Amino acid sequence: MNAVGVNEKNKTTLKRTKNRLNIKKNMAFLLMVLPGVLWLFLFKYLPMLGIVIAFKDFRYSRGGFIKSLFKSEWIGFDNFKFLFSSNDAYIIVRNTLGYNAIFIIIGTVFSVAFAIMLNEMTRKKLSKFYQTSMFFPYFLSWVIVSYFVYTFLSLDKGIINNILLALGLEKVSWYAEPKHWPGILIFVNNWKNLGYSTVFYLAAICGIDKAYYESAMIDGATKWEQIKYITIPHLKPLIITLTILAIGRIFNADFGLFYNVPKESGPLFPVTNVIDTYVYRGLMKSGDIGMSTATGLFQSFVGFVLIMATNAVVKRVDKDNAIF
Amino acid sequence: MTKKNKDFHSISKGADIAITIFFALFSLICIIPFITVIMSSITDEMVLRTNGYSLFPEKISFSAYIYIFKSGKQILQSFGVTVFVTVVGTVISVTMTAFYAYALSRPNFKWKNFFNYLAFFTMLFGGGLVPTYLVVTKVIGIRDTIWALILPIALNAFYIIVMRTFFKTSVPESIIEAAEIDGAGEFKTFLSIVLPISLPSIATIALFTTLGYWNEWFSALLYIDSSEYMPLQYLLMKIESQLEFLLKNASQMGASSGDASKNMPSETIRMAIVVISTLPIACAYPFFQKYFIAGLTVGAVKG
Amino acid sequence: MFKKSLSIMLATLLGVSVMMTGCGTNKEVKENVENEKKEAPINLVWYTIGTPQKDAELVEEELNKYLLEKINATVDMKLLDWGEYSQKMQVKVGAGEDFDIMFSCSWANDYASNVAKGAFMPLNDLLEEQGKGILDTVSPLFLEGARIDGEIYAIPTNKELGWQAMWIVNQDLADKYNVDMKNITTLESLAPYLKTIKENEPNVIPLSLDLSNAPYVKNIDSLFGDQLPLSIKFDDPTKIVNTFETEEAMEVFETMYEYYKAGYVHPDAAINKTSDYNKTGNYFITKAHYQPYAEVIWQQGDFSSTPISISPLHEPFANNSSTRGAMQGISINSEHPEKAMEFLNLLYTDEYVLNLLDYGIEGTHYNKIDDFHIEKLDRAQESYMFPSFSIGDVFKTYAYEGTPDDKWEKFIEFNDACIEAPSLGFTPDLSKVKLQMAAVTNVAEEVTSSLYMGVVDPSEYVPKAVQKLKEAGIDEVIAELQTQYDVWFANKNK
Repeated sequence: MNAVGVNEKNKTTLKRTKNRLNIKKNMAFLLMVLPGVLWLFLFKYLPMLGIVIAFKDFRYSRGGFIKSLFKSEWIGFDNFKFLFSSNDAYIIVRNTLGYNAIFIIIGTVFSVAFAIMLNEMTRKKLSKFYQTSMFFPYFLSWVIVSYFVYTFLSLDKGIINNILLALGLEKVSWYAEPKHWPGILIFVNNWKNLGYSTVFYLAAICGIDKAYYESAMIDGATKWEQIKYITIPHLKPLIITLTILAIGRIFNADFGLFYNVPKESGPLFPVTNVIDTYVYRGLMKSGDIGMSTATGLFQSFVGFVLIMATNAVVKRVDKDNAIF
Repeated sequence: MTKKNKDFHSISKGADIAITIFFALFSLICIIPFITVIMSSITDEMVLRTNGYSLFPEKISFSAYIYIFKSGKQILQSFGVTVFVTVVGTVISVTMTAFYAYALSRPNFKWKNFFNYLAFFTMLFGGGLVPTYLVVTKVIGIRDTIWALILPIALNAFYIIVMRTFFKTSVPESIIEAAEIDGAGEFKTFLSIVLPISLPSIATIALFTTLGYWNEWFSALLYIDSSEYMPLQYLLMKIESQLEFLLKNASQMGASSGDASKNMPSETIRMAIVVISTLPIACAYPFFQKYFIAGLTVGAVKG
Repeated sequence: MFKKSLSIMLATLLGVSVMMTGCGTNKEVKENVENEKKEAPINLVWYTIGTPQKDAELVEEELNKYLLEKINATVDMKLLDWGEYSQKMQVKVGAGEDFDIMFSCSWANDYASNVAKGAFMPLNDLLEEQGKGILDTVSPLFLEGARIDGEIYAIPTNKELGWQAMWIVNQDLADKYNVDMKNITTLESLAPYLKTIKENEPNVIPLSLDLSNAPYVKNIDSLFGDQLPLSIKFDDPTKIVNTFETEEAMEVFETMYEYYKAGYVHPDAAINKTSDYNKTGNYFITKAHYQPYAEVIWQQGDFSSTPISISPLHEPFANNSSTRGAMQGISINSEHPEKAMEFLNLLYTDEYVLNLLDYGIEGTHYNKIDDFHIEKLDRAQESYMFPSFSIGDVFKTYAYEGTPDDKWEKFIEFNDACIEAPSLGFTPDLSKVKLQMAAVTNVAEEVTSSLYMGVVDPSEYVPKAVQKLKEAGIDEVIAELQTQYDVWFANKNK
């Protein structure tokens, strides 16, 4: 009986020490997040109070922003109607969602594939060179990229048209025919961003313990089987994380891409006008802060709902990999 | 263990060649536009106007670069600003991000869910331009200082979440337990054990942060009025938007548009500024690449 | 003990003497403070458009020396570059930032919308008090354009009053092919010449027009600029119309369609903003906005590669856009509106201040040749160039050598010859139709450039465009505009 008593005493002491350790740990963790939390509060949460603008008819009064905000009239959801009231609402939403969905799928598949291939190449130095050069498009701004696209697609002396003429075919008026543009935009977007997203996966592959591969090899697995059963499963958490986060932004389009590359060509609007460009064009002259904030709020809200939904689905299927 | 086992069953020769050729082509289409920009910057102005961009300019002229370096006080100043902001910004940002992400990745952090949501929420929702501007200029009061280029973008919830994933997957729990048993505190564990293993992920986030700071011009647009704090990309953006603006509004401006185009830099100068502002950072990637090495110490534990 | 009392005495003495001096200094300090209060000069913060210049501080110092004496104020002039001015000011105004004066016009930091949102201080009273010089100097039609609901919110620069589109012809080519400038009038009249050029000069663009330089549609007074198809006809000034539904616009579209098919226009005109051809001289004819003796400026600047001739497209007219080409207004948050108005008044009455800002410091940036002409020094080209059209009364400014002596007289003639556009002074309140406006703007951007550049067949495309506009709500916009216009029109003609 004594022994049992001692054991129990040991257990409680152990528990107490563990608790004390846990508190100490949690204090340390709190300290770690402190700078971040401070920053988030100042630069993100404090300004968030301004979201109220979305529900007001904002006018300036003497005394600065806060006074103006108070004096402005509350108009509820009127500012939000702007997105839905026009006939174009369906088109711009379809474009935004459609392009983003394709970008996510193609982007993920290709960057994972690229990362694996680059990692498997035998000429390592060449592989590094390729990685570096794939990054270059990311540095160019969309404005400069649009100049290049123009050099290729110009009706007058564009490179592609010159090639077509040389092959005996007719010139194409690229900037006037919408049907080519989904393909063009998808290509250009991936060209610019693949180098960037591949890096994420390369870094992750580096983190995979070589021991897995060694034991697989000893078991006689082929290269393809190694990739299928070791590399990809190890990349799964990252793929899921990045995909869920991308889905959260599925209602926001890359403004630079859709505004600059098609050179604002009117006839292309049905396939190049997205929510962000539509809002910019519609509000540019009037500069209505209420309407633009309302649109941003709406985009955020939809993104939020989508992320939570996706996360819930992932949680059902594969608990460890959900973001929450 | 056996470090010299460098290829665990390498890929077939055919596949290797196919991959090599494929990436050679892809790299080519990635680099060519950039080389074209370089070539355009050393093309004679008139030739550029008539012929457009080309890899093989008819007439070479370095006048753009001469002009920049002669009256280049602003460019040098901006270069300095960009370098300072990038280095300091990256250090601050990566430190905050790594600490935050690490705490989030530990299962025994009691409030990790709360802080997870706290960060994540800001990825989607924001107060908008004017409220943020107000906080930065009135509450914190850093308008027209160099900190306005560093602090407002110092943290990115996206990177926090990604780094958290990196920590969770590439650092085996056994190592941390081993450290715990040895009596190390959380900070010590993080700094001396986890960090060295996570070099690839830290390097990745550091690379992206560096790029983000180097390319950032919007903060300058919002918060900087005086030219001594203008970063390089902002100079470039200013010139581009000036062009666009004039072209768009020339008809509305009436005869006044003549005044506005007086100061416009030529096409070649614009290209030269692109080269100057992009080349340095393009060379940054190899610098970070050397950290993308496999976690060597991991094997030590298994042994 | 003695020591102690001694020390106490000393201490008291010390204390009293300190108090005495303290009092004394206090009194002095108090007097000084009061004097300072009487004299404290006011510092005005002024945002205006233009590329920041290296010597701006130098000029500002010189200016402030003068201003301190004249109106007991100093000015902190902040130049914001062309491409970013609107965006930056939008944020500053939105956040209620502290400043006193800002530049505004129809094409940057939009005047009408800022007034609608309450960003400007009403100026009628201030003009009567501190701004009398302005009221005396500025042409009444300018003030008419600035008035919204009877109140002036910003003061226009006194310069050329109206717009006149002018054809600019490459004289070398005109000589080569015996083109008589008298025959260059309307868009249609160009046809035979364009044909000749097209057939004989493969590297030349016959008709150099593009997105930023659209063809002129006669008889149409556009309410919001080329980009929105809302206008009033000169010969029927009571109705607001959809520009695309007018015959005049249709004529232009059809002509441009023929020209585009024939290859007279650059193939990418609808998406390009090609002023490059003008610079290299590879064009035959183009157009630009005129002011008296503009051809001199053009010949020296943008069109320097060949000699040019000009021919007008229409009579000059003054509308809201032309009268609001450059204005300076006082912020609703300004703490010193009276002093700000005093400064603005100087810009219209004081030659020294005006020319100092426009051209810099005499001897450093320019040398005077005679009463009117100046010689630009090298330093000015690099370190001080100011957009002179943005401030004050241009009729009081100097001109570079080579400018004809009667430049300002010609300007006055030009201004007198301007007819009033029907919409001059009409500023509608668009808040009731703001949703439709946003949708209409998007549709307009989609269809406008193709039509104006002749890329599409107007007989097919115009009905489609009109249909899209109607779906976006242009009819409601027109109805709202018409209601407000009828009231304004009736008041105007009382």
